[in-house]
Amino acid sequence: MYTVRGRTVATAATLDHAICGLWNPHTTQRIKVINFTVFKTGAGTAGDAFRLKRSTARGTQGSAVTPDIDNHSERAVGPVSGALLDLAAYSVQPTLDASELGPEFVAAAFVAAGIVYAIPGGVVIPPGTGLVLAQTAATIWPISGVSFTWLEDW
Amino acid sequence: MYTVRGRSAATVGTSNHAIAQLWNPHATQRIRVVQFGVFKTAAGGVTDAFRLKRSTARGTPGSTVTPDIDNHSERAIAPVSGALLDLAAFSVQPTLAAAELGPEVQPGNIQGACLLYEMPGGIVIPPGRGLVISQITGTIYPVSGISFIWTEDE
Repeated sequence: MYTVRGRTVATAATLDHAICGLWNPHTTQRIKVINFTVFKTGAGTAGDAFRLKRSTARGTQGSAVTPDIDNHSERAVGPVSGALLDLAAYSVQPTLDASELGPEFVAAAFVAAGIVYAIPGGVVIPPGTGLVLAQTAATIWPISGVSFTWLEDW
Repeated sequence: MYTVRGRSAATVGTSNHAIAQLWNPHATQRIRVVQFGVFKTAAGGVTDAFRLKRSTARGTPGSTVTPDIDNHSERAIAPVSGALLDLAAFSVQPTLAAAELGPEVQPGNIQGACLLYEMPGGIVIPPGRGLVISQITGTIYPVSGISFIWTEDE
């Protein structure tokens, strides 16, 4: 099991812009996301909201975190998939699938508004695709602490 | 396992009106709901409250989301049941069974008030039936982010 954390930069006030994403660059290895978290560091705006979407192209993220062996729950091996945590603000947005995965998280306009969400059954990210926290409101999502936990060997 | 998300429109201020419904149109396939989520995008009323009810006729939803293969946790197969997420405001209300299922939720009247509820053991929706998030009070339930998670392969 792996976990990674990073801090986003504020997004543009645009529907469907990515707050962050977990990208699986491997050609054959699937990964299963079992948990994600988001915590605002600024109040943001009333109406801030996002839901999950699958991505088929990575886009160009503002920054990325590359997990290694220390991100493994047993510190045994770096992620075989080479999974990457991509963070806003993207200069080129990921290509998003139309389907919208639950839940939709509508955040209060407070510092530290956030969610810790254990995904029932997990969501598998096939090779060469990603999972994105995509805005459902055209507001500036503020700088946030984000994290994903995933499996590579279930 | 499947997950779907949508956004309801505000209801009218009438008891027993549906905020959202997961409808199972299949002739034989049962589905089991294991989680649902409701997040207010606006404060709404002080006494806003809802609980779950079963439905025996679908009614006419304000909008509908049709899940596909991307809504599957492993992106392997679209829902066999053809389950649909129906959203307020319904022009014809679903026909509700009298029994009231837990929990009763009384959200705060603040934007972002929410519930993510994992159902102990889940709730099975038989073929040709639905599960409705149904108002208890005669208040206008505001626009909300809605999600359901269910299984079809038990």
